Amino acid sequence: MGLNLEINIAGIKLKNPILTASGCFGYGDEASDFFDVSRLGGIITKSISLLPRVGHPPPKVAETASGMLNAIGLSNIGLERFINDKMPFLRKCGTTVIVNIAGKQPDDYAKLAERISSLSGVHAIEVNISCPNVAEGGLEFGASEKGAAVVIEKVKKVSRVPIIAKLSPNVTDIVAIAKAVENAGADSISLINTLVGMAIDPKTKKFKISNKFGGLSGPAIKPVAVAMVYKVSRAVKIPVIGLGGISCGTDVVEFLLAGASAVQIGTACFAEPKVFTRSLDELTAYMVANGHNDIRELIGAVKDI
Amino acid sequence: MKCSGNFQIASIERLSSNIIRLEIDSPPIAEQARPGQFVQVRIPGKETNIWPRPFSIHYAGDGRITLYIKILGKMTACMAKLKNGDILNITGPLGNGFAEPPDQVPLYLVAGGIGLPPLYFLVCILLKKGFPPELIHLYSGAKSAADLFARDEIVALNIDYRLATDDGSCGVKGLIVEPFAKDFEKSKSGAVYACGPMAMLAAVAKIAEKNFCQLSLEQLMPCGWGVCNGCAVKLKSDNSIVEDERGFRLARVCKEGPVFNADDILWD
Ligand SMILES: Cc1cc2nc3c(=O)[nH]c(=O)nc-3n(C[C@H](O)[C@H](O)[C@H](O)COP(=O)(O)OP(=O)(O)OC[C@H]3O[C@@H](n4cnc5c(N)ncnc54)[C@H](O)[C@@H]3O)c2cc1C
Ligand SMILES: Cc1cc2nc3c(=O)[nH]c(=O)nc-3n(C[C@H](O)[C@H](O)[C@H](O)COP(=O)(O)O)c2cc1C
Ligand code: FES
Repeated sequence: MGLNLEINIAGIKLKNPILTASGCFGYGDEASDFFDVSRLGGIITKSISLLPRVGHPPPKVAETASGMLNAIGLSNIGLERFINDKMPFLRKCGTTVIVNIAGKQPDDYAKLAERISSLSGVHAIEVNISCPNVAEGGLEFGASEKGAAVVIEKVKKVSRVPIIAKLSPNVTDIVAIAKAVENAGADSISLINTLVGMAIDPKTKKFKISNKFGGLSGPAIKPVAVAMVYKVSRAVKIPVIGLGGISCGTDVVEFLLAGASAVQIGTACFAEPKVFTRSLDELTAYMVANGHNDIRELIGAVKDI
Repeated sequence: MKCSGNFQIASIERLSSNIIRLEIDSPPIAEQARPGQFVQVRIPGKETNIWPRPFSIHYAGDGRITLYIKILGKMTACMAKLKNGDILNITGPLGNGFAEPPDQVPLYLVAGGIGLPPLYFLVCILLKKGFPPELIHLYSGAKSAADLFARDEIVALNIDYRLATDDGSCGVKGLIVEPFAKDFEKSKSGAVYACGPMAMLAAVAKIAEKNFCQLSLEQLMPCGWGVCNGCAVKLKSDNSIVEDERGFRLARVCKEGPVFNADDILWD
């Protein structure tokens, strides 16, 4: 009997639950050098802003124990170039396309959502209200229930496609924020974005990245992400997409068991461009070995000890 | 199609206290490799390092790539302990290589320390295409004799080959830019290629002035295949890539580079 890996998230059909994390896969067009991107459950683009952004000066990244810090500063090519240069590839990439957006003010998000959701070939929008790397915007909204709700409401009002709210772990009560975006109309929630971190080089006595603070990602944050996915998925009715430190098929299973309906892989693809397809093969092998016919049997299926 | 997979070490040699030479059986990468391109390397089973490490291709032929590696920190220290037959995970070839010189003009290639490999590969390919060896001048500098390498290979090319070390233990004492500057002053024309520390590249670019001059840059590279933007640097503005109102653009060293025209670089 064939396995079912297909999953429906807020009306978006994913052929399998493995997506690319925003900012870790460019605009999707680099990866076809390495593998058939149509095997992905979906592509999530780098955060797009209304105008191009240059971001912070180098060094923007630092390697840390089982993880890394980044302060890329949302550098991106901006809305117009994205539409002209990158959408043609995405339209024919053979899988679900989710465009991630970031703004300085709630109205920026609304403008982005209105325009992007009207493009052919865009299946959903992920709203980044959780970037710890930019002074204005981003986390400012994601850090309070009210701020998060305002952005999501504005976006929902104009968007023609489902909305995924991407949450920050840098908050006191992630469940409260999750409920706020659910009430504001979000169709799905993704979490987690990076954790605020810092690294200093004792040799030079300098910060390791120019922005001083950066976002921590990679295996180091996985237990934090799994805990948050568990908590949030039990508190809201909309589907949760889990991410943070995933680097293999068993990590994917862990997030599904915790309550995620789909996952994203970010940092792990830097070292291994084909981590997505390898993880998919490993997920399939796990299902066969454990007698599961349908991916949905795994979602939230964690057992007490 | 670029390649990402496991390949076997055909030979590994410790050349001095801090340099190793590696030959890796990797036909799909060797076939595509061009001078100036690099590979990302990981040691399978040692995934404590989150990022792979970039190394320039020193030579590619007969299904193999050759790398020279300076032992600097965590990963390179582990690489020094590898043996013939061990497996490395390699992604590549990555980046844009050097452009060929515009004409049969004198070529000046300036290598600082471990910046030699891409320049050596370029010379090999140009000679193969019939470029006259007497027009090629290669300047190779390092801290001391123990940091110089591939000397026999270069001597065998029959090109003009100069050495300099900071401590005078080999070649002339001082910076490698000095002998290059002296020679270049005489002709004031030719094509210049350089790879090495930023300060050396800045000096080379200044000397080369308006001549054809290509430089290979280094940045930390989390991915090496263009998806993270971690390696992006500012270049002078043209109409490509990310531009903003301040008149510069961003280029990813791993993708648009690592080789750039000296004219495009914004020196701080
Ligand atoms: C395009 C490119 C080509 C390269 N080609 C070669 C080559 O042919 N041979 C070779 O030996 N090396 C080459 N390098 C440099 C090589 O990648 C680094 O030496 C290596 O990553 C060090 O790894 P490590 O784990 O041993 O050191 P780590 O433990 O990571 O670092 C040791 C120290 O060096 C610093 N450092 C490491 N990498 C860099 C870098 N890229 N720029 C500035 N500082 C750095 C770190 O901040 C730290 O202080 C190249 C780099 C680039 C970007
Ligand atoms: C280099 C880098 C750039 C990122 N850029 C973005 C971005 O533009 N928008 C966004 O929502 N998240 C961004 N993120 C966060 C990731 O999408 C993800 O939430 C986080 O890295 C955790 O997942 P991981 O451990 O699998 O990388 C970025 C992460 C990294 C490492
Ligand atoms: S190293 Fe990731 S984009 Fe260049």
